[in-house]
Amino acid sequence: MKKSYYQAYIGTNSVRGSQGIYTVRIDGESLEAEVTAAAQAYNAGGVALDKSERFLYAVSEGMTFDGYADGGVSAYRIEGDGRLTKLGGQRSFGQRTCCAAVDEACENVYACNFYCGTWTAFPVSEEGALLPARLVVEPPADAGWKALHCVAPVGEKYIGVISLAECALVIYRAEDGERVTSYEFPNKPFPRYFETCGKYIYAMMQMPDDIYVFEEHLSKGGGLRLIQKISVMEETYMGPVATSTLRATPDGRLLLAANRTTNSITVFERKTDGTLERKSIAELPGKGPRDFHISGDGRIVVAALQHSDEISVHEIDYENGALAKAGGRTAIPSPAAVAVSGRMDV
Amino acid sequence: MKTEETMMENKGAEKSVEERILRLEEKARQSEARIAIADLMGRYAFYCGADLKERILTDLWTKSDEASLEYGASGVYKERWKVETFYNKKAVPGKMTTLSFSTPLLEVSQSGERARGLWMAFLTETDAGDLGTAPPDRADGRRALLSSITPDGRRYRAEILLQKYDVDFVLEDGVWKILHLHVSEYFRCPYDRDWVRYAGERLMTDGMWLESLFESSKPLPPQSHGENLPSGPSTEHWQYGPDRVPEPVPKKLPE
Repeated sequence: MKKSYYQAYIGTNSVRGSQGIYTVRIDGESLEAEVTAAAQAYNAGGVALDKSERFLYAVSEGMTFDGYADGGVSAYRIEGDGRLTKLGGQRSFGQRTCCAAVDEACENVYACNFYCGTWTAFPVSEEGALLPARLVVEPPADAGWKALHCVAPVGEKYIGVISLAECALVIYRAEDGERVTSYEFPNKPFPRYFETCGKYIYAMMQMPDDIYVFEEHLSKGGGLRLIQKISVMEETYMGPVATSTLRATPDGRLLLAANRTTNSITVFERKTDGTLERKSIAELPGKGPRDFHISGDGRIVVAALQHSDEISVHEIDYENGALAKAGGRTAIPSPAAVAVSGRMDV
Repeated sequence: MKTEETMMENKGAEKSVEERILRLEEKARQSEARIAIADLMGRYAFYCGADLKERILTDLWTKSDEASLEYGASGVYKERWKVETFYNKKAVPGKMTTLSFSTPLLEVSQSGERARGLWMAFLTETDAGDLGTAPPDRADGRRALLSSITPDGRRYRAEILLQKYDVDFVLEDGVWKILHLHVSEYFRCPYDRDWVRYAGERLMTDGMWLESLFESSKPLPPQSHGENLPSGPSTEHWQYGPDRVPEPVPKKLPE
């Protein structure tokens, strides 16, 4: 049998001796992981791989970028041995850039800023570099706390953001930033993240730990229809919650959600109608899962355990909706963001 | 016998004297305020150089939670406890800051209870690093801030800085105190380099530099939840770059 491996890119906070963005090679059989390279980066609190897996985009989650009071996004070319070559970066017109996403066509990178509550669209050159922002979308002028937490494409034509200012999921037209629709979460929770899967959108609150499930009708001129609300933890759980990341497996069968206070990942089964059924809650070996990512083939999940300075690798058990076999734990200072490739042959 | 005209002239003269006294009193208040504020900032500079940063907090800053401090692109740190983190630093052998202010641009409000001033400031920042008796850990990421290197690879910091201080003052119980402080760092560079060529290189450590300024040597209060993040984004910011034209910061100047 051919030997294979996965490659993960771990963005870190610039603390405790962090070297920036770490390239990690994960053995396809044993799931043991080792660091093979590190690229200098400041507070790489969000990373995104393009579909071709040739380029990586990392946010600069700080207050300054290139001498401006800004966050920013940097582009990297992934070399054959996993090293990252920086292709430059662009300022994002808002401080503490916290999330980046690449569209399906790899023509645009989107970023959102915690301070100022702006989101930004950058065209991507043929060589994978970022061009200056073509669009900077500001929050409503009367919003009290202007902050965004998550940005991602919704289909081919739209961009969604989690707005802390409005306590809402807001959808914009990707081409020109025109606002299309929004859903304001009731009772002012702390919204955190969202994921799309086909025509369904899953929006997760950090506190309380609710996931709102929507069916979107954007292309038909409609909005978002709420079809379910379900908690990350079991209904009987009464302890503190602070969810972080929510992601679907590439085939859409499962949805995974991390909770930092219990150091766990909840695995949901996705039904054909888009609704979720909680299948298991897997305890992770370390503390503070700030992010996780699922490999391109859907086989493994890599978790960034920020507070215990390590990453862990787990195989996904689709049959039982659980996390199964785990690889070793690999020490990395303050891991905050993960992107994982598909399976590669040696 | 006094004519009506004479009586009115006398009344006009009295009013004129009263007005003049009021104007003189106003001028005296303004002058006293200017002297007191200049003395305050003189003490600020002295306390910096003498590593008496706690005295800056106790003697020169308002105790109110309206206090705020902003440094470069740091964002605004509001509330007294956040301002304190800027000054609460452990004394480390080989570390030193010196600060000298220019003549200020000062304005005192009509009420005599608020004032605003602008100063340019020339600083030196020193950290003996590997040359001192308390060298930083090899794994300490902050070593990157030690911008000078000896031929044998030991790191230390000896930098010159040019800053602008934009300060709001408030009169509390008859004593002037700092209410808001906004420091713009125009440039910094190692003593043996120039700020033109260093402008690009400093960008690699700018973020780390800003974070280090607000790391406190004392435990954070419970309301911090263990974090000391800015209360809000930066207001105005400009720093030197070979591609940048100077901009007026702050945009509204004292008159």
